[in-house]
Amino acid sequence: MEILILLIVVLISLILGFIVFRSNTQSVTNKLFLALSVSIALWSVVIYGSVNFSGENTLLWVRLTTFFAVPLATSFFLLSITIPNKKLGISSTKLYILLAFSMLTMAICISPFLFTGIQFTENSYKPIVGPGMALFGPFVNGIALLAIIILIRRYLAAVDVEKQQLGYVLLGISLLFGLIILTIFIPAAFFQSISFVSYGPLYALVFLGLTTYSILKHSLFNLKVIAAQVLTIILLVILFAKIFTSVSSTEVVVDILVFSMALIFGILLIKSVMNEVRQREKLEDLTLRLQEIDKQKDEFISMAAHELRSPLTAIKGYLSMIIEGDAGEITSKAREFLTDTSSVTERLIRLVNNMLNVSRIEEGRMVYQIEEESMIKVAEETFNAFRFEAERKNIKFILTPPDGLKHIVMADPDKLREILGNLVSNSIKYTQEGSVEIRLSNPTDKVVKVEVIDTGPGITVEEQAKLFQKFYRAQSTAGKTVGTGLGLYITKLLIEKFGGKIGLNSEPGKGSNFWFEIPVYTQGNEKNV
Amino acid sequence: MSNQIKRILLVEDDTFISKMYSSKFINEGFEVDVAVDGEDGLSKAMTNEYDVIILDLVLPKLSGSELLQKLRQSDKGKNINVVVLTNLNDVEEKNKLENLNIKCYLDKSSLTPGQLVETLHTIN
Repeated sequence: MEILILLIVVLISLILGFIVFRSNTQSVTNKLFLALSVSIALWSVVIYGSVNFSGENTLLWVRLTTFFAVPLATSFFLLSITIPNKKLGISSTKLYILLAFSMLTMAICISPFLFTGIQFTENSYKPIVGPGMALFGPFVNGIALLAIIILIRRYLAAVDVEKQQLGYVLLGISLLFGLIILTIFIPAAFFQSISFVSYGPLYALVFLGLTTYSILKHSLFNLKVIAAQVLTIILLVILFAKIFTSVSSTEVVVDILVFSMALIFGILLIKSVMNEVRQREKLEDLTLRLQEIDKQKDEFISMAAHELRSPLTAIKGYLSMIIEGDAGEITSKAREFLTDTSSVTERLIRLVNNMLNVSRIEEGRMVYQIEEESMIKVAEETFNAFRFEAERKNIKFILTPPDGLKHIVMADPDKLREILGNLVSNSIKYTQEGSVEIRLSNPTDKVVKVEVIDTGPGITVEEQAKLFQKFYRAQSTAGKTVGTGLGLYITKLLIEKFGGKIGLNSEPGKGSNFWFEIPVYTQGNEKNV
Repeated sequence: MSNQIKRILLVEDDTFISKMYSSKFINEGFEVDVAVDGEDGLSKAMTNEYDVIILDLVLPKLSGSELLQKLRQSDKGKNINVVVLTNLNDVEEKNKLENLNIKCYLDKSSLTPGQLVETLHTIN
């Protein structure tokens, strides 16, 4: 039974060690974990030997338990200053000193300096401690203690995921070393007793399990997957062992068959599991890259928006100043041309804003200057901005605000101009002859309605349904496809932001009526925009 | 108007834009100083007297929001009128200005210099 425990412990240690190592072969943490797992496996074997193979070799086995305790303690120390990082926690000079010292201690362990001899009693034995214990004891226990102190300090200073990770390791270590020191080292050193030595390997699994969890939990491995692999291998070992305990030849054949089946299915299971893990790794990797690219895109758009708007601001500003007479008198022809340039610049700014603001509006990162604003004022300003463009196309352009209209709304005035500008710009663009009218009304006391009515080609019902979607561009009715397909989508988002709604009535051949409604603002009736 | 704006500090690193605004302000009878970066803006604001500071946000050496933070910590700049005029229409940027007592946050590309002057007349 003890041999089975040993086999399981050794196998699980090695499997966990290699699984962790394979999950990231570049990471020092994972390499150190492998070193520690192998040390634990070897240490377990020699402990088993020291307990079970008494006789003339007993002294050698006892010496080997201390011999392998050194790499165990050293790799544990290095792991605790490194986990979960990919790079070693100390300089390479210090590493070499530590390794040199470890090897010296290991040499002493198998020399007669540590245990000078052995004294057998009735059913047990006592090693006779030599002067080498003065080096071995403080060294192994010292670095183990130091490692635990470092781990505790790192745990206290860590945050988030790293704190959790160090917490698991600390828990595993506390259990492992607490049990080892209490039941093995202290009894062996002070009371010359080794009655608990055979439990050593079991303690190690507690620590290894928790540390594996700590390292892999936050990487791509699924613990269920590891458990499946470990269980498969244990099952195979048991089935394999059973073949040799069979009494009859029929039993041997059956056992071999069962073992072979288990082997085949075990390999298939592990293969499929590995496949799944690899797929998941790929997915995770791609997701990370996508997130990175998305972030870069956002930064780019933010900077591009800013950089594009600066020169446009200057062009627009200077044009307005020349038109307003800041540069002295200009001829009427020059004024006409400049006014056209100004309209085109406005269109360019609108285009740039639409393209660059869409994600910002969608994500709610847009800045709004919400204030009281007259819808009549917005309509008049928009009317003036497009008057010349309409004149150019010989289109009748009409704005007739009715008397007594409730026209004060709570919204961002610039965005209101953008909304109405988008609608009017579309109507003028698609109307070749006839008229474009901006009509204001109060369907009820609580809302103000703005309609942009044109005599353009009109829009089919099928197209109407898609018109306010992102990147949709009217095709069949316009005969040509222009624009970014963002104007109406953004207009809709903005209108909704201000608590309103937007729609259109249109039929092919009968023109279009694009309209939106916004709540009228009255004192004390603040709309939550 | 008793408290009319007279002296303006324009903090703007784009020389085409600062020239444009300062010509307009001079035509409208204001006195204008131009600062070409954040540090320049802060030192001018701390040494001279202004009725309003027109502040861009994306600036070399010291960003607009950093400048404003330092300004508000000083006795001299604690209460001075500040108008933010920027092409950076981002909520995160605007949130940085919270509690820094700005008069308004204006979108540079949607205003002409003439409209900016009108806005300045409404301050105070």
